Amino acid sequence: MTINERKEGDITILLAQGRLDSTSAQDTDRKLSSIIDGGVLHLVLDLSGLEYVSSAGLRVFLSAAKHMRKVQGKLALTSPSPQVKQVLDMAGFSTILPIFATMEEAVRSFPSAALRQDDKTNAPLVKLTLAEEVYLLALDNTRGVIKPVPGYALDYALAAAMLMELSLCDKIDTDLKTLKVVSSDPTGEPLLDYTLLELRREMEPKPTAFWLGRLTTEKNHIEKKILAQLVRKGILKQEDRRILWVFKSHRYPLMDDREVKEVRMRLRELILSDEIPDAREIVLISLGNACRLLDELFTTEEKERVRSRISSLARLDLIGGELANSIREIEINLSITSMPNI
Amino acid sequence: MEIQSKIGNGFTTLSLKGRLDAVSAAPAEATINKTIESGTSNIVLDLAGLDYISSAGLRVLLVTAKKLSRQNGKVVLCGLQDSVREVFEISGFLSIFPVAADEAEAAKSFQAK
Repeated sequence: MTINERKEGDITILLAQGRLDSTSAQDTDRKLSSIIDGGVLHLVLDLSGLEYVSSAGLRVFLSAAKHMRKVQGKLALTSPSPQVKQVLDMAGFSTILPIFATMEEAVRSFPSAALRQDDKTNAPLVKLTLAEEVYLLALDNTRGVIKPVPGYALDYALAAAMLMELSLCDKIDTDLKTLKVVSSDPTGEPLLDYTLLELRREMEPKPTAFWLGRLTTEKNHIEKKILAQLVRKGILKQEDRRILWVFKSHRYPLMDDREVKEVRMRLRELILSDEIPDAREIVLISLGNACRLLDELFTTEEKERVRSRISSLARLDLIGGELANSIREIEINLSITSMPNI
Repeated sequence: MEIQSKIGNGFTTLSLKGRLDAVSAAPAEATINKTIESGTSNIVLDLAGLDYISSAGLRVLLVTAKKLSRQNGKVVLCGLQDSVREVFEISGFLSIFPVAADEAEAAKSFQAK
């Protein structure tokens, strides 16, 4: 296993050649670590010369990605052979690491120095709502469609995401019985404000589950509304019924595909550890779990191990708890109605 | 919401009285932060006088637990009323917070270390 280092502007490119397995993993890990500590903020790992990677080798990529995140840098993997790509896919790494087919794409994935300057000075900040983040997490990037999530689960999760966001910014408050509006100042997000208005229209406080049901009625088209909002914000576009990311030349969205992957990796680490999560992480776990989007972050053997941790983290948010209950109820009803008549 | 603070041996006891909800969450968090900034890493939250807790209230406790765990400290709860205990049970907050019957028992959990 050899590693050759070269620079292209402010990008460091490492060409990995040979076999990355338990014999070479430790040395490679150390080498990458010292390169990153040397002050690299944009790192490309060129895997075109990599003949073989084992699970020990995969861990090296993961630790490099974590390390880059710690120094607030960006990592891109590029040009894996079909065999290596298959290993990355099978281990679920393709969903948490930014992997590009060609060197050109990898290099282009870093904002150029001129753009970064621009970003600091006058590019508008694109802020995403929780519901939009959930939608992006549910998007299958390579195929341009929503992943096979049960429709009711995604709708419920999007509705819950809006209520959670209103709760996180102290517009509403909930307990085990009811949901109450505590402030009617607008948030500036049209969909959230519209929802807040709906909530206020009801005279008597109603339970959270009532609102989850109300917001997900078919005529409310919640999924379409969220997509429309993401299109309006210039993050997604629709082409021939496919949903694609927009990468504009003059500004890049705050949360691009890379950032979605970073969110996934952060959630993965949090779930595998016994760390206390923060409020936003809890709601993302509740929402991801409701849509069965967390499974893909773990290997088969990990899945068994993290199941109970995920469901207890998901409950830490009261709205998240109601979301899980509502979905469970729908699933029970579905299984009853689909039972064959005897 | 009223918070009384009492410095004990190796920990500080904060007694919460009233309702911890969206209205009182921010001031309560500020008071707790002040206690943490004064150098305490171990806090007993005496909830005997707490009549009600909402989502916003739970978030205050979560932030506190996270902060203290980063400084290798911890929060121990005591004196939970039934209605408040129910919220903790259903939300699974009991899995994050050690709970003691009263302040004396809470104090012991710090000495055991």
